[in-house]
Amino acid sequence: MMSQGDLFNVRFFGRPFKPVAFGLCLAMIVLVVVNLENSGRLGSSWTGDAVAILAGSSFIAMMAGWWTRSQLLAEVGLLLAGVTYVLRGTFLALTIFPDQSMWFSFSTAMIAWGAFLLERLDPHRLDSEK
Amino acid sequence: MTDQLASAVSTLITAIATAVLMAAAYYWGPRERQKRSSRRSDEHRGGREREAEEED
Repeated sequence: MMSQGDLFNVRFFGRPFKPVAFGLCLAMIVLVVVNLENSGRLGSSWTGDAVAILAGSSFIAMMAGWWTRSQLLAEVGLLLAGVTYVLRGTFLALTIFPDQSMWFSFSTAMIAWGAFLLERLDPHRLDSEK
Repeated sequence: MTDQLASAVSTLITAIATAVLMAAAYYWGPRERQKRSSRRSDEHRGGREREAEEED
């Protein structure tokens, strides 16, 4: 498996290395912990709980995709990471606009969805999957 | 805006944005791949025809 999101010729535990996905995994763990503690910008709103669940799912999907070498799971994880940040950013825009967390959320959402599109629209994606 | 209303509206906006992205990715991706593969096979066929002409 090799796609546009992988570092060329780099292997980590014998698996392709996607730097953006690994960075997002770390961000997802932070979001899960902060939102379960209700200590983040989203406070005790149910959007905070939704963000925690989405971030946890995204983390599991990306790690499982990396470990099982599944392109589909990696894409699902990146998509969910984008969804998590769009939800967070929109909520912040509607409640405490203008706030730097909102801008960081939208920019990270663009990174995540950009990485998702790079994986999904890779011209060689099907060649390696079949 | 109250937290409840903001949560509902942001969920709706996120759902719409996700649907648009997925529609783009799942429609545009296979089309692009199809275009590329047909271009590749055209080039391949062109090369073979040229070789055949040269042989004649």
